[in-house]
Amino acid sequence: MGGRAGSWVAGALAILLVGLLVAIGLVIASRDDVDEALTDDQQAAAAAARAEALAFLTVDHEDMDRLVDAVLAGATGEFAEQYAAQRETLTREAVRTEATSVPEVVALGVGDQDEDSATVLVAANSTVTNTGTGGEGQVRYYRLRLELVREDDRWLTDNLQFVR
Amino acid sequence: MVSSRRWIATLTVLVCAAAATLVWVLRDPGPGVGAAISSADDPAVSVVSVGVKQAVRERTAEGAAAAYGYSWETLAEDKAAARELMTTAMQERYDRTMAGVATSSRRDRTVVTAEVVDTALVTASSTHARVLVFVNQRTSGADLAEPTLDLDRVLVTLRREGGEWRLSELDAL
Repeated sequence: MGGRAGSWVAGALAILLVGLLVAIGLVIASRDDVDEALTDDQQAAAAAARAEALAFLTVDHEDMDRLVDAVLAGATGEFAEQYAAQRETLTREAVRTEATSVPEVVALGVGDQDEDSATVLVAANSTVTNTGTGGEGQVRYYRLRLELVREDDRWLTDNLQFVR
Repeated sequence: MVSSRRWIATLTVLVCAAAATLVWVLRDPGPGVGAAISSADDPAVSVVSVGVKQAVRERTAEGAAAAYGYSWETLAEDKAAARELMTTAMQERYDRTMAGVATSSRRDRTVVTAEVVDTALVTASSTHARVLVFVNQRTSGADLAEPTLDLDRVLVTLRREGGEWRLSELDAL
């Protein structure tokens, strides 16, 4: 290859490279300017709320201690205190009625949110069995509202209510 | 000679890398597409801004209240108000749903009030959004011994058309 031909090829490659870089730039610029920090915060609060809602709705009369612990692991403040105080009652009732509940989250969204707090709505269904259902699973439909607070970079639930 | 060859090799590598990057950015659909997204912890969600989040939650509250409530006495106005907040495709589905309501609601003097209890964002780009809404629907009418109350959960999809957010899908869960 002659020097002249070589520089032609190099020149053509350089022009191609610039064209590709411009194309990449245009594609990215045409995209939404997503607020990454906001998106990350929402995902983190939402994931914590999902875990807590599922833990809260799960019942297994043979394994209540572990299930209550799972709820408390994601709880704080008044909700944690109240739930901890109900450990015996919850366990006794679950055992007495041979209750099980297997929940799933159908939809979940985040309401008001700032640096340290978030409100999350959860639509969940749970398949419930107990001495009253005669061994058959019954599906229950729930609407939950969770209030979460950020403590040491973890989102914890300090209020959980059924929405009427 | 040697330097020209080195230049060509370097440029070839860079061109290949740029081409691969272009293919990658073109194939990544970006945020706001996923039709199957129903939860705000889905890895594909986006929140484009606080302003958009607020706007789509407010529009959802308005739109859901209008779409799920009506009175036999003001049915035409109620339907017009609901349609105004919908995309054309959603209007057609809404019209089909409401087609049967006209006769029966006049006969039974049906009044349905839809109270939006709360809204929460699932995902929002600058053109598409999804919002979870809890609606309490109270129905009264001559055919009912007493009013009924439904505690509804609705996943609302919105699209921005001509600067306006409109409801493009109502999915009762």
